[in-house]
Amino acid sequence: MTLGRLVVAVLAVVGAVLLQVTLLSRLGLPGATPDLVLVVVLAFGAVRGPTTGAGVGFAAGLLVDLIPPSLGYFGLTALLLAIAGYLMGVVAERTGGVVAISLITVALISVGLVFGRAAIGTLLGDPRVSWGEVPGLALTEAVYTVILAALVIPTLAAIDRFLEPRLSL
Amino acid sequence: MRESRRPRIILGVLLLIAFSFIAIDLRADANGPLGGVKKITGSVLGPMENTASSVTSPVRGFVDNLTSGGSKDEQIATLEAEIQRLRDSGASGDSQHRMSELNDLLRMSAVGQYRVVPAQVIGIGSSQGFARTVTLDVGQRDGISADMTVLASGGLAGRVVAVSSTSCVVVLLVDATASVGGRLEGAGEIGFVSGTGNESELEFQLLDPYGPLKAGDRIVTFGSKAGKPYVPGVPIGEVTEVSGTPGQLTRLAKVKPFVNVSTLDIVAVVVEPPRDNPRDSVLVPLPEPTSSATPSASAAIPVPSGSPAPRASASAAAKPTASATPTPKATPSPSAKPTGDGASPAASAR
Repeated sequence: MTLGRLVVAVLAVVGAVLLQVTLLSRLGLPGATPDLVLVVVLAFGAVRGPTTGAGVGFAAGLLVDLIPPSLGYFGLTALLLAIAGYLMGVVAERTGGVVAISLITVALISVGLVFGRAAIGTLLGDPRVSWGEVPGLALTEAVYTVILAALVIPTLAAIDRFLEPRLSL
Repeated sequence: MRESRRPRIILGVLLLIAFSFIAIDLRADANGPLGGVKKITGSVLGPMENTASSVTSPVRGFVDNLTSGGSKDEQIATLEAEIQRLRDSGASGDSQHRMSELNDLLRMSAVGQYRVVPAQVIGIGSSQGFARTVTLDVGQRDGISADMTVLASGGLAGRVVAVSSTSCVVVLLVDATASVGGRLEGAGEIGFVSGTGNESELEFQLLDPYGPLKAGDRIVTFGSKAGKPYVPGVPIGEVTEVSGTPGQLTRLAKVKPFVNVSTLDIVAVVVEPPRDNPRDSVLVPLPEPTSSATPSASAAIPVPSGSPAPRASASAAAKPTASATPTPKATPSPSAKPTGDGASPAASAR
């Protein structure tokens, strides 16, 4: 990864995490909070492949676990987002980035993330997890993530083409 | 083959690291190695969050206006009135609302004799994380420590659980792990109010199975030992529905909290509990004792809702983070806080 690409990754992740806690979670939208951090991680997986996806997911997850007011288990979001970025990268690589398949994958991963978080929370004995809410959260989460991903993935692809015209697929 | 194995190995390593972090965090307490890391990163990320919060505040206001308005015509009328008001007063867009919130906080702290530090919400946790938590822009250097009560316009908002030098994390009353001792207004029957994870509903469990309990009853905090984590006399909410009959082993009621956490903005952290229990005095007096209407805190304060705000008050509302402590008594700086860190909180942090 060149320096320019690294800078883009750091700025995107930090910006997404800050927007997440200061803006998106305060808009009071119905259901889940639009997860911009997940979208950014999926975009890096889709555009730059599974290795970058997993790495960016891990780093972004650690930041999410650290930024106040997060009280969750340290490392849980890193675990989930690393898997999410990796899966997105694998699917994008195998299918060559077909838009429909990418967006379906985005939806499936976001649903899996909500269920995964609730399942691990239950396993670890978190009293806050309420399974009654989970299907609604997963559904709204998938909708928000697909909408945001449809904007963010092409943007990141364009930035990468601009930075390194020869490296891009 | 080698090409396709590399990402898998990297993912495996990352997952192992993440698992060990979770394992360490599960066993560690707040003073463990991760507590220190969180504290340090909190002091770095807190100010960044604060800046981002001020940058994004116009966007939030815009979206709030869009979602709160009714029809297009109503929205236009509201916006025109707003423009006129802004021209008249020169005050910022939401200063009217913030002034009424500040007024109510001042009233509560004065009547209840709580010494408070005003603060502003700068971040909120995502709802899919299940925890109901917010970040405030005050921290250790403002005299904040863990297990302090947080008030908002209307009543009790939550308690401080983690502090860095410039920010702190508050677990809201509506969080599923929050639990506070409550006392019914007048009757003095006591019980426990617990969060449900739902923003508009709390659960009240009356200790005395034969105690009187009916819809419309209002609940204030009973008060913890040395006021940590909850000071006495803070309004919590109003009973909306009673389940079970007198004599049943546990009598439960649904309670609507006075504080609307989805619009939480200006809050006050109680840095010193009152000397005497304020009992029911902090509750807004009802016009009729049996009125079932939700007592709106702002209704009792003489705040002009339609007319432009006076300059002096508007400028006070624009600076909610001033370290001045509004109290009825001339008391020294907020750093003279009670030292009772050893007191066990009523509910755990996680």
